[in-house]
Amino acid sequence: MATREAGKKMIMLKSPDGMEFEVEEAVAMESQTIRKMIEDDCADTAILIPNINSKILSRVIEYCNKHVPTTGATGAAASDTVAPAALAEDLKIWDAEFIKVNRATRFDLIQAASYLNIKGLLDLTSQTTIDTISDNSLEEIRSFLSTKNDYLPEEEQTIRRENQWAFQ
Amino acid sequence: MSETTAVPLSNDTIFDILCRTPFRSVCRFRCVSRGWPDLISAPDFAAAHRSRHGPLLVDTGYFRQEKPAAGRDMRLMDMEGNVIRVIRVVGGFGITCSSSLDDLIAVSRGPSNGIHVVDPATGEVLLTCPPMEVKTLEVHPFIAMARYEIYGFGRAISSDEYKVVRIAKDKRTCEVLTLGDDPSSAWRRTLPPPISVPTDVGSPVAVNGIMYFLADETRETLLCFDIESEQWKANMIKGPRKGNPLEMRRKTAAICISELNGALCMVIAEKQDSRSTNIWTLDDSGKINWIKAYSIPMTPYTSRYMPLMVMPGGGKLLLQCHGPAQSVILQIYDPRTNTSTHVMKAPKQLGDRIAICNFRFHRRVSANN
Repeated sequence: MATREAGKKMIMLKSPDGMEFEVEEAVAMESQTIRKMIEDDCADTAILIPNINSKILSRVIEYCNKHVPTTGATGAAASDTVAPAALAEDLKIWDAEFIKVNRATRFDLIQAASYLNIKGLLDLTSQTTIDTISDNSLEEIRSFLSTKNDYLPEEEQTIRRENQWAFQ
Repeated sequence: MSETTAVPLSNDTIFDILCRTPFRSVCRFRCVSRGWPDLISAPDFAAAHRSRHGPLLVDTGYFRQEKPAAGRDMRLMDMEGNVIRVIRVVGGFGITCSSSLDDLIAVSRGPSNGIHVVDPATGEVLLTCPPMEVKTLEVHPFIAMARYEIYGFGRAISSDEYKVVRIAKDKRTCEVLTLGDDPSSAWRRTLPPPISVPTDVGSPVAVNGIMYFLADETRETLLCFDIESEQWKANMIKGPRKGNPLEMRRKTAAICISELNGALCMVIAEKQDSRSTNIWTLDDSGKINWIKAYSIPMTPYTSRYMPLMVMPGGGKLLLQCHGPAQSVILQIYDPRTNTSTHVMKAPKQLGDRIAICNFRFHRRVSANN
């Protein structure tokens, strides 16, 4: 479908706990999942976003608002005064602040980014998680990811021996 | 902050996170729980991980260093030059043959000293080929019998077997051994190469089931050995340059072959006009066609470049750069700006030939030699 000129077409997003968020279409279309719905004309009135509660959805919208390309979305002409590098640096700082959330929220954000297919948010949340766990002990990783150690002791011994170099 | 309510991540999400995780941590994470090794062993995981992290760079030892008694070490690096694993004693004198499609590395143990094949994923030596037996010539007892052997290593396409090719220069013999067979008895004789193969131009290169050797004489002609059928192809492939062979030779500082993006490439350092290294890739799907893929300007401090790989995302090229005093560094060349930058994290001393190798996350099933 052709991109719409000017105008701020608004889209209603509904969370399963009954909250409604009115967002600009361009912002909502940061999500490839929503973009697909809009392009397929499945989004006449409101889009129900299953599994994502209002608290997380509002944060996701906040992210998309910040990351939507400045041209078109605001209706203003592209700003030539801000160099792209400076803009990118500004976004990086903003992202770093944005992701300072507890583990539960971050996991919810990962799942939401994954479901809504928002590449930038998925990159940000996943990378932050890796940075947190890469150097942790197995126990810490298990507890961080709420994963149970279901190895039998001898199985664990074998697999640890095979991968011993990665622990050194 | 309450940390108790986190919902466990789905397998898809864990997959996605693991794709972004560096090699070493991925290997450690196998021990987290039973489901993880399966996730990590899946072929689509290897592909997804590689598209982000690229393959491994393998260095088998800095050959001017004093040889340690037990043997040199093999170093595995990521694309940024971070050493992720040092495998003790399995290094050697350089790499024999390289192909970015493979996950095993053949290491030369020195001129005329045989080779061994290493699995970088486990650190195991899968095969050791000792040097060929040398019978001293009674008539010339004073002549040191240097035996010129050329080894190649590569994988056949349909059988998926790894094979070692050994050419003894003085006897003009060519033999083949399949990985997994007994190296003391299972060599198979084949016809020798149609024209002789030089010993001083680096290793042959195996790409898509064909092992390419630079031929003697012009040194710009390729001999092709089919790894599956173990036959030399009747037709040789002429190099990319046209013109008077003598004239071309005079203008050439060095020629070698390598592999880039799944295609064989010829790397020619020109020493006249503007000093540059030209990289030509071979398209032999139909009519033989050489494409000039890169032309890299050389600084006065560069003696030659060896392309290692095209960086993920395309365009930029990872290079091994031979500088002054035989130093070797890694650089990234950006064709858009026509400039090269150093890979800062790489170790100070690198071997003469860095290989590219896929990291295998699944267990190897065959080859229990």
